[in-house]
Amino acid sequence: MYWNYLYFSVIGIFFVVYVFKKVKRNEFSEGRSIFWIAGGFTMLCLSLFPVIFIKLSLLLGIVYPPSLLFLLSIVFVVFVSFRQDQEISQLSERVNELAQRNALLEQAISAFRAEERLKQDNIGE
Amino acid sequence: MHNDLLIIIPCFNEVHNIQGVIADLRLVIGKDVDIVVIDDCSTDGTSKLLVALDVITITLPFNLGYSGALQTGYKYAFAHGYEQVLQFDADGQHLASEIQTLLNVRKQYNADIIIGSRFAESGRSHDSFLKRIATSLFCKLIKIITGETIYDPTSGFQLLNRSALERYTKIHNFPYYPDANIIIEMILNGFSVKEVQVAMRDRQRGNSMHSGLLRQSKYMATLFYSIFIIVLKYFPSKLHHKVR
Repeated sequence: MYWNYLYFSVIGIFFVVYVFKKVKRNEFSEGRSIFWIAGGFTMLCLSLFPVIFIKLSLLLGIVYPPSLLFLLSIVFVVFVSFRQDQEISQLSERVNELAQRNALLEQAISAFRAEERLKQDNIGE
Repeated sequence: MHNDLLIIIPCFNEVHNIQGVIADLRLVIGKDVDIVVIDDCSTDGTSKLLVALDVITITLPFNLGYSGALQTGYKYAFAHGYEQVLQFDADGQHLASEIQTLLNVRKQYNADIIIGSRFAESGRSHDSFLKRIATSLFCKLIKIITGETIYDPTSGFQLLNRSALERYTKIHNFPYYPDANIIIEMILNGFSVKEVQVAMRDRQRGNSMHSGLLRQSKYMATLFYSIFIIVLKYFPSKLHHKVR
């Protein structure tokens, strides 16, 4: 059974290192990486100290302790996915507003240019 | 210096209808009213036609849908200081001759929103069975939530004053289908809505954005959800207690 915890520890270490590398190379923002780092560390701690894990499982009535790790992982992924969807909808709204503003400014510029052309034509005459 | 009233025409792939619509408007209302067409990134040559028609056009960089185009028109009207705005469909359903009916009602009742209704006096026998059920459900919902009777909440033929216009420009996440939901929200915020019977034509050519069972179902589900959210947002403070 302890092999399970070893797998999880190795995955946790790789995951945390991978996220840190991405942040270091500016390929992932600090703010957004916090959740993943926290998730990775939680996974690592629970795998390195199985005692906490086993006690917690028993407390929650989970017979097979590694199931708790899967449960926590699923909850975490669902939470992050929900947050991302929420952010996507906020970003879509901002993009729409920008598109509207861009269209209005373009119209204003073309109206201004038409007015200028008319003025120059009048001066020419 | 511009006129007091602006007509907003959201337009997407209406190359077969838009010319007739603009010609009708110019013939009936002449130079007394300004017109702006919001081209929602049409792909059928509507944009070129609009240039040839010499009408004020706002071209969106990508397709925002009917509500996004409409809100762009509101923003244009508000920024340019128009006192009244009339929504007008580009598919030829709305009649330019009926604009005066809405303006007369506005003068008479001074309501914030005037809806040109197909059903205020006559029945709704021309619509499909699904649409008739949906419209009557929306009417009942409006009555229950706001206490007001609106017969045609799905009509896009509407005249707005500047305060309603201001509100529309500032709504974040403007609903994808601004129909009964937005009317409920406006009434709950103290805006007065008046309905008047007008004549309308069937769409001249092309397909409606609500054509097909799937689209109609999506439209109904979205609208019911939107109304539910509005009820949640205002419950219980503003329901039946309209305060601006």
